[in-house]
Amino acid sequence: MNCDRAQAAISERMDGERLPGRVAAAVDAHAVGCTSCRAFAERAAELRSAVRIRPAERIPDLVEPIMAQVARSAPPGRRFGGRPDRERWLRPIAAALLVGVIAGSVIVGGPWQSRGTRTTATAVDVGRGVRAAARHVEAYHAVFAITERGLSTDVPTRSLEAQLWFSAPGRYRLDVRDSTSYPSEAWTPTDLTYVQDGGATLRSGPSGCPSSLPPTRCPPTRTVTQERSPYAGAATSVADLVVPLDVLANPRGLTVERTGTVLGRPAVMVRMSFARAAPLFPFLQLGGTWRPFYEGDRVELWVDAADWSPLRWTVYPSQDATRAAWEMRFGRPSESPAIPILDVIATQSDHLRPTADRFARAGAAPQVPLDDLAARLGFHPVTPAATNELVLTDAAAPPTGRGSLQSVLTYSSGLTYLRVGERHRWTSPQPFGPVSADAEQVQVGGGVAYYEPAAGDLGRRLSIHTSDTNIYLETNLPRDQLLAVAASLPLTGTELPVAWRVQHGGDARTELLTLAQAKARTSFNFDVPATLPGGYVLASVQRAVVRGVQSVTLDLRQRDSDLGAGPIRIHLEAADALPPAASAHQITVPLGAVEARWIPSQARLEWVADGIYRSVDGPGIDLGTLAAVASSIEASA
Amino acid sequence: MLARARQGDLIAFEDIVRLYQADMFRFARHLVHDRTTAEDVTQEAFIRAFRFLRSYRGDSPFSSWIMRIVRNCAMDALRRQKSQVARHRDERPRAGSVADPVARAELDAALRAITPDHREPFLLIEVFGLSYAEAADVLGIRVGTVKSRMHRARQALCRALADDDEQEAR
Repeated sequence: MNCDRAQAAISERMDGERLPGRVAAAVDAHAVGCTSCRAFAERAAELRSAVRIRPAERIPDLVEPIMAQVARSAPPGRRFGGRPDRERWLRPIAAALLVGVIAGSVIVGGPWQSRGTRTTATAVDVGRGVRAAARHVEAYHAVFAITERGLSTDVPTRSLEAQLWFSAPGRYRLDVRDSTSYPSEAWTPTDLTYVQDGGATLRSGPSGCPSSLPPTRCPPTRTVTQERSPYAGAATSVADLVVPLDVLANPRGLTVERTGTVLGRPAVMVRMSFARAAPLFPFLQLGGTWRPFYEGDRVELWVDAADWSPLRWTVYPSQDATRAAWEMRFGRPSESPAIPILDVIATQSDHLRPTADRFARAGAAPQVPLDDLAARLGFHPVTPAATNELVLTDAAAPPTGRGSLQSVLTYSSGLTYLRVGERHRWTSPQPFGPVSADAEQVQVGGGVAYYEPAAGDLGRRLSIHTSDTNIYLETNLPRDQLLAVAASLPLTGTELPVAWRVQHGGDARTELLTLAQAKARTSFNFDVPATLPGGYVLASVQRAVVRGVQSVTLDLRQRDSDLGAGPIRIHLEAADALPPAASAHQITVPLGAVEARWIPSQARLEWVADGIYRSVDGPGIDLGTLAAVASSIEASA
Repeated sequence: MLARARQGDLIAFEDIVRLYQADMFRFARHLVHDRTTAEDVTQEAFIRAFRFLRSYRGDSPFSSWIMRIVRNCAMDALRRQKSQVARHRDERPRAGSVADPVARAELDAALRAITPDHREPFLLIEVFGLSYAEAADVLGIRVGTVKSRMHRARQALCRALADDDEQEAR
């Protein structure tokens, strides 16, 4: 991919165009190594901010001169100027409200009226508006007043204030301060802080405490967690408090009730279930004490018709008969569907960019200069010679909880990151870091390392073991670049100690081996299938002997990412017949001369031939692809 | 409102003017670079819109349709204005009017420096939030052309602003 094509694609992506997966990957890979394209992306983003965040200019009111000319050009008999005086008098206010609607209607690409109480927006209109607004918002600050009812008989009503700051890209802060007057000091106020700065998040607050327990049992401690998850998809997100994209982008399950004015702003009201509205309540997940909510409870959400920010959302008890059963099960008193149990109101908001210190991670592992880090740790952390133009942005010594010390160096540029963790004393019988023992063994420099593809909220990972130290690397760089960074480290990885690779239990012994070792030690023949879906490579081979019976399991993983489809696992074992069916639902699939059994619930294809049981498991992979893999195994047997 | 306006209901049309006049004026000002001319263009556009409202069939969003009229009126106004001096008379940044007048002036200058073919899609998409399809509709060109002009506009503007930064650094 050349720079011109890459920049065209970057430009399209900025405008919300969806690039095909291959193109997006190629653009990202190109941009990582191309300063010109990265500079273009940064400049274009700055340009966007510059043209959008500009002071409001004076707009002339042209209604009178336009209507005077229109009236002159209109044929006689048409209605004109018949508005009552009162409406004329109200016009400046209506015009002020409509300025917001204009912005909103241009964003959604079409006008919809907000006068009166008539519903003129559909859930689809709202979804379009929210999606477009989420693309445009650069900064946001809001204060919300939260009123909760029904926590307990001692504390029937609580008052809290939440303050939210957002600065693109990816910086959020949510502070919750509890101003409730509690009956005794045994109650722990729900004061919470959540900070997300790119990859790092910080949570602080009293540990979660079931509201059904007496308050004295609720520990009044505070926990501070420095999470390492980089761009966590499943992590708590407060983004919907800026623009409720998760909640409103998909019209399914939403009902647009009416339009009106909330807090002096033109707004639209959408109704949904509590379960559907969950992203609007991130504070409930952050700790402290909260009353329980039934998933079918009714949520009424008012969103600003101009910038689509949430203005007010209220939870009412559902009228469903199933809620009564839920109340009984949890020992909750019966609640009236007319009385709100949680009410959140935006009392103020603006689009000013917060200062960077707002997102400082107070309480996080302190940032220390590299030299000081060495003094603190008692060893010099190893650093890669090649970092793909990423620069060292953070050096920390987070406690391990076991008395020993570790270092975490973070290199970054824009959204790209590389984390290098190091720990000297590491005795767990598995690779250091969140890397499993059956990770793919790869060659790095003159030694070996253990690699795992990106999965869930983790990036591509590599664990390196030497007799002196243990290194963990995590990144969103492509696999090849991660391996190149690892090769530039001043150390040579060794194989995991034998004791870590062999496990004994009762009559069973399992060992992690190379393919050649496993072939040499096993009495039947096997190999990596000739046919595999694109991107899959052999990650590990495990040989087991259980009560004298040999088996071999081959793990095949995707090179770059486990998202979408998981590993393919091939199992071979000496046997004369298929085991009893694991599921009533099964299909017979012909594989050349033999017949295989397909169990959809397990995504497993299994068969027996020549005294060997063989199975191919592939969660997320279709039967046709797995049958092709199985056929290639059978053909080579 | 639109249906009533098409039937000749002037009160409904007045509502439309209120709803759209701010954006139409801003768009016109970007095209003609002059407040007074932009006011004239906006008025003329609404009068034309009223005259041709019955021909609006709803194939495209109403905002795109009326922006297309504003653009045509602006082109007519520019053709009438022979004097380049007059065109730029209103473009000096007014002291105290913005937080960072220098940056704004640089951006305005960069916007004026790119060709109208590139500036128009850039304004419609980046400033007015139109989609590629809507911008194509306003400009009467294909979506693919909008995409490539948008990309060229960004490249030219990024280059111009980078040059400014370099000169400042020297």
